[in-house]
Amino acid sequence: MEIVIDTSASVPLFAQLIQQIKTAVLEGELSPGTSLPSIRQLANDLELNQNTVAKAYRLLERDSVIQTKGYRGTFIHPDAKVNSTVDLQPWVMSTLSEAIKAFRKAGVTDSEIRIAFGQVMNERNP
Amino acid sequence: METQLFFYSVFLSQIFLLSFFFPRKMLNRIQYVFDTYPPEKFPNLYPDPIDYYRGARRHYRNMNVGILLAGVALLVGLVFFPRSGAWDGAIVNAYFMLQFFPVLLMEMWYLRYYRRMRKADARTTRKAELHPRRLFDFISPTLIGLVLLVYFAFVGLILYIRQFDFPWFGGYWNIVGVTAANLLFAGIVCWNLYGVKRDPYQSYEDRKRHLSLIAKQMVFMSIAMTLFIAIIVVFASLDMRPLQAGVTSIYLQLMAVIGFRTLRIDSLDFDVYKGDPNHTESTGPNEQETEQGQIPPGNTAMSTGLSLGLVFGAGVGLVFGELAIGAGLGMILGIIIGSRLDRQQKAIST
Repeated sequence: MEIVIDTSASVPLFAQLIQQIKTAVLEGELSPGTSLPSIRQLANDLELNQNTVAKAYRLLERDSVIQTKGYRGTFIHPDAKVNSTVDLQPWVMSTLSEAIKAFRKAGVTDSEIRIAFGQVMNERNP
Repeated sequence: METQLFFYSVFLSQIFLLSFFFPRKMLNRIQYVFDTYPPEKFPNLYPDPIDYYRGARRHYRNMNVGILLAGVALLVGLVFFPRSGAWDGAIVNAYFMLQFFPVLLMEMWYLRYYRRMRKADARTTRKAELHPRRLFDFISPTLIGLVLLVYFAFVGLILYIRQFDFPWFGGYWNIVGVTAANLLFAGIVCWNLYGVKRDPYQSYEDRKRHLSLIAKQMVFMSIAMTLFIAIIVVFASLDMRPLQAGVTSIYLQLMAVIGFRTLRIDSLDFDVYKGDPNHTESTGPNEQETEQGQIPPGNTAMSTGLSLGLVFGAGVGLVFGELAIGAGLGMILGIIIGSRLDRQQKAIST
């Protein structure tokens, strides 16, 4: 299976990786138990920073689309197909919108919301 | 007399194989690419004007012709001038270093070539296969087992010979040297297997075949090198030193035969180098950097540095008795000096 990354696209590189792996899982190109290349190999092949690939792998692992088995490598999760349909983006957007709406209703300015949001995001253990 | 005849014939073979046969094959290969894949149809293959490559080819040919003539003159000298024969091994090594010099330059030229190719690559899309590459995808476990078997047999031989306490014997240093060389071979395989591919346009199928070739080359080089050291140790212990020069020459030729193996050019996918009209042209290579048909100043600086390093290394090696190690260190020193000169020249030209 071939991964194609467009560096000029507005979609972040790690998001392109996640999307393509999820699509491949849904279309049956990647079946459960299929081994994936190491972070280093994929980063070198795509000429990306290793942190970018690591971030994509971390998020896919969080969503149980892939699983890492120590030194044996990274594999497609047994429940990857089901988990690939779950997209947290709409849920995050709606939750945030509700929170912001509540803040505004309480009289908090946009600037204060941004500062508070930044502070919370920058905290190590929010 | 028979030993001398053996040495002369083997050395003659070394001269022609490494300075005539293989360079000619390489030159024909380059010429074939020029003729079959011209820059008008395959612009991605030529990040510099084609005259630059023709110039580099001409330099490579001239260098090899010079080394070939020097080799013939050296052989004539060896035949007609009486000598003890004690330096024959050193002569073979030193001449091999000279023969290896154009190959080294060519390899460095290739590094620069791929750097330029990457710089000129204007594509914004990048592709990769989502399959892990593993060593045994490219080489059989039997061959790796053979490497280990030869290595442990060598260790056993060294431990056995160590009991006799020969004055010339290096003892455990033989094991250290062979282990270090094997680690180097393993490192080269890993670097090719997991590192960034040199040619940005190379198709995945070509890359796989190239990786397989590299892995096999390193395996056979490892076996040949370990066997060679073992043979040299055995010859020395059996007092057969006069044969060592001839055996060294055969070994160096064998290494060259393994090292010069390449993929069949007509089996490579050259379509990847065709120009894509949809792509916007990159700024590409700076035409001011090189004059057409001439080796750029950076390469001249690199050659100067390398020559200095080689001479220095060979001198040090001769004084301390280890020519190969000395020349190897010299080459590394030369590369460092050459790189610095290269950078300085680039800064001046900018």
